[in-house]
Amino acid sequence: MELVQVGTPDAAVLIAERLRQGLPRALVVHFVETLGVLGHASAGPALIEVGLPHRHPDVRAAAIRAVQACRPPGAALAIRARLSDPAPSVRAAAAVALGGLHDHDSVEPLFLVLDRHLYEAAPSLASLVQGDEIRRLTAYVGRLPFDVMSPALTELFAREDISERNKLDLVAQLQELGTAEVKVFLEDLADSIPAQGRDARVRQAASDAAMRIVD
Amino acid sequence: MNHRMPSSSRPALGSLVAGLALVVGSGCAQSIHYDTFGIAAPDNRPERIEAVLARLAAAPAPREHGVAYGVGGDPSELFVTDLETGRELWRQPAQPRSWPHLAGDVIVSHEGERIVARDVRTGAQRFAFPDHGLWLVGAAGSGHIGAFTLSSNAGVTAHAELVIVHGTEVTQRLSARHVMGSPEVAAGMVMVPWGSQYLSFLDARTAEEVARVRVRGSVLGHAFAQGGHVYMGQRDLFRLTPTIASGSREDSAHYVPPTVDLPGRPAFMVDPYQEPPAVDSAISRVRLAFRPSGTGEDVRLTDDTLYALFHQVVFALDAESGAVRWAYRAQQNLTGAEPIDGALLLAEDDGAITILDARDGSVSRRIEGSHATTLVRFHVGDVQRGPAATADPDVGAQLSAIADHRDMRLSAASIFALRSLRALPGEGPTASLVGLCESETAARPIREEACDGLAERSDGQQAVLRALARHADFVSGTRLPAVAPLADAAVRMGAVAAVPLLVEHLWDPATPDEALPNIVAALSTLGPAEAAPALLRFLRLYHADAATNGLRIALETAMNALAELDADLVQPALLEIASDEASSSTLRLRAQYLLQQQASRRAAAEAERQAELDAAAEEEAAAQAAARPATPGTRTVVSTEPLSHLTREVALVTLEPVMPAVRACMSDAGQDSVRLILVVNPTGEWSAVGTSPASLQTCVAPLVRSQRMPAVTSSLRQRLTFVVSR
Repeated sequence: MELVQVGTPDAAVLIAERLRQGLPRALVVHFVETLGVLGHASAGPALIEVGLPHRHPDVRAAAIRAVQACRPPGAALAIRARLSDPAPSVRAAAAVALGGLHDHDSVEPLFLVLDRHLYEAAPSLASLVQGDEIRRLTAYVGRLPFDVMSPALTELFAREDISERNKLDLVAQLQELGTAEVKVFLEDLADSIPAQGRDARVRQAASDAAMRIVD
Repeated sequence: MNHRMPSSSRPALGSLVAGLALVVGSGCAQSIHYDTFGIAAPDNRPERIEAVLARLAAAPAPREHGVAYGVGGDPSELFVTDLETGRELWRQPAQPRSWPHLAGDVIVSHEGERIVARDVRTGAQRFAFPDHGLWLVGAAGSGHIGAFTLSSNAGVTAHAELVIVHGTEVTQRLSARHVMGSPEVAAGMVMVPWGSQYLSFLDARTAEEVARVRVRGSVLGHAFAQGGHVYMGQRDLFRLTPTIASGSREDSAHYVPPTVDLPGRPAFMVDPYQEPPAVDSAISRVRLAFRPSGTGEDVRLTDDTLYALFHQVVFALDAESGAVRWAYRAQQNLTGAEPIDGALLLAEDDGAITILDARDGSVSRRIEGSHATTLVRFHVGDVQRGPAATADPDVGAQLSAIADHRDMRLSAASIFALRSLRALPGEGPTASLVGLCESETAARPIREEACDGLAERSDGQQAVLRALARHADFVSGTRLPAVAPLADAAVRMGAVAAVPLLVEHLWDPATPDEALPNIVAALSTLGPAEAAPALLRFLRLYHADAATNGLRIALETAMNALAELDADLVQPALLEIASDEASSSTLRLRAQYLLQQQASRRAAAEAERQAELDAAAEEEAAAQAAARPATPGTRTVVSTEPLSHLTREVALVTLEPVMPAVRACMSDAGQDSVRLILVVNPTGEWSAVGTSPASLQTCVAPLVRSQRMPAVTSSLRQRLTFVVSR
């Protein structure tokens, strides 16, 4: 903990070196998390070499979060490989981290794992998709449980780089579902968008659509 | 004693005989005989056997029309299908108790308490009579002559009857006070096995016995005529040749089936002296099928193949060795099988008939059926078989497919297939074992046995390397290979190319803990130098986290291997582990032990090095002394004057009496040389005696100590080393 308080790159190097020497599992997780808190890229090699392929899934998941925080070179590539991990918790952490890293190269693998029911991929995809990929993602609405897709939809509606046309189409698509949970989502969406300014028409469309869905 | 008389001339008939005489259908030319098969009649008379053989040789080959007949449907029906046209000839309601039989122009079946005969071409009933408690044992025919046997249980009350048919009429009925087996008809003769050991040849027209064969030490229950030859047997198969007159099993032309632990353990032939199996008995689906062939004294099976049936599966076995040549799994349950030259006819319970090529089990023709069948029998004539196979069968793949399923009813076939697969050499069977070991559909015992088989493979390296190159991948859906048996197989194969692949699995979190010891052991054996960095890294990283047995054993194995390979390389890690309180206790203790061992070795090496230096100094001193001119009267080797110090020469002379025994120790231990490290007190008493190798210490040291070195004037202990060679 003193090393964390020091917070210098040297501290990260020292912790990384101790990590390589082997520690009890509980300490490994703490050390990895500490490296994440320090957030120095110098910890990257140890995290990628020791943390990401570690035998224990808790360590691997912690290492993914730490790598995301440290952002060393090759971080996205290393985390992308963990989408194939045998442990669901590690795959989920990887999917979330790839969204956080804004790694557009991960879009295709994230779609693949979403098809294999790794639902944490949906919000990450929502932060990464562009162009036709947006329609590919929204096509999952109705195919996957709505509570899986709603965080992804929230992300899509919040993104400023997505056109108003796309968002209006998405509102129309949601209205067609016409379920109670969609109605609540659209009401919350309308409430979250300011009445004036960008997306005002989306707000109005969401409000109108919610009203058209019968309770 | 034999005696036969027409029923009409016998004044006092038993009720059985009277019953039999009355029930025979009208129009049948009949004559009933009693005790025709008496045991007092002579057997194995060479001239009679020669006469039978001559009659067989002179007979024209019968023109047989191929038919399939049997039982099927619900309610039960009898049917006959023309095999040459594939057309069903007739189908009639009937509930046979046992297998129906073809006897010349009639199909004979045991229905209720009656024996019923139907015209094979039309199905019209030709005759019927009560069974009087007898079973329908078997039947045969040639041209228009047919014969069938009825029999009771064996024992003192045993009795049986032979019925001979011409066309659709009964012409002879002969009774016996012995059980009868399954008959045959050929060359105008009816051949009837009886009494377990006899085969009588009767003239089909007169019912006169023309010859009798008896084979001691074997059982005669069936007779076959095939290609102008007559065969008989039950547990083994005899051909009628002049040598059978010996009456000896060993001296007769015969074939013995291979001893193979087949699924269901079917008998070579169904025992005709037991009650016949029911139509739906599993015996019709779990049995052996064969067709006799060969010439002269050489008795063989057609295509040198013995077919083993098990419900849906056929294994084609080498007739001599029993090795599996090919295997076939039918789409449905098997209800019949009949080998012909170059092919095997199979009937399935959906009514389909499949013709398999005898060379590889490939389907050469399939005739779809229109009715379900319970039992199908074949009377084979000319059958169109379709094109012959050209490729060698991939028997490994065939056996693997049979082993890999979850149908518990077929588990015995699966296990047999797997064991046969394990016995096959080559790449393909290894690849099949890899697939079965990982299979998600195979039953657990099959998977486990496949993994055991894989671990014991010594060939098929490429299949092992291909499997090891694979890693579990959620995205692609790739399954984890069975790393542990693959690692063991790689060691057996000496597959050094597997080392980098195994290192990758060592670091793959998908590798289960229980596979780690196998991986580490394989790395230690196959490429310790190449794998050392990875093993060292693995040891350091997990030494404080050996939560499972698999991981702990793997770490210990890695530690031992590294200590053996490169003591200097591993020493820092051993020091860390030995002093790290977080290390697991067993690892820590092991590390401490290895460090002590290393220290001892270093000390021994240092002592040896010092001894070599001393020896070199002594040799140099001795050489200098030898270079000085000798003083007259000076004794160079053994002096009466007190010695100032021991020399090698003095030591060797002193030890000379025990040297033969020392060399014997070396010989026993298989050592060509031993280095003696001797430490002697000034008084000549031994301070220490050491040997290298240390394994000779217990044998050599007492011998050396039994000799006393001379005292010297020096006050220092002296060290001598020298090498003794055989």
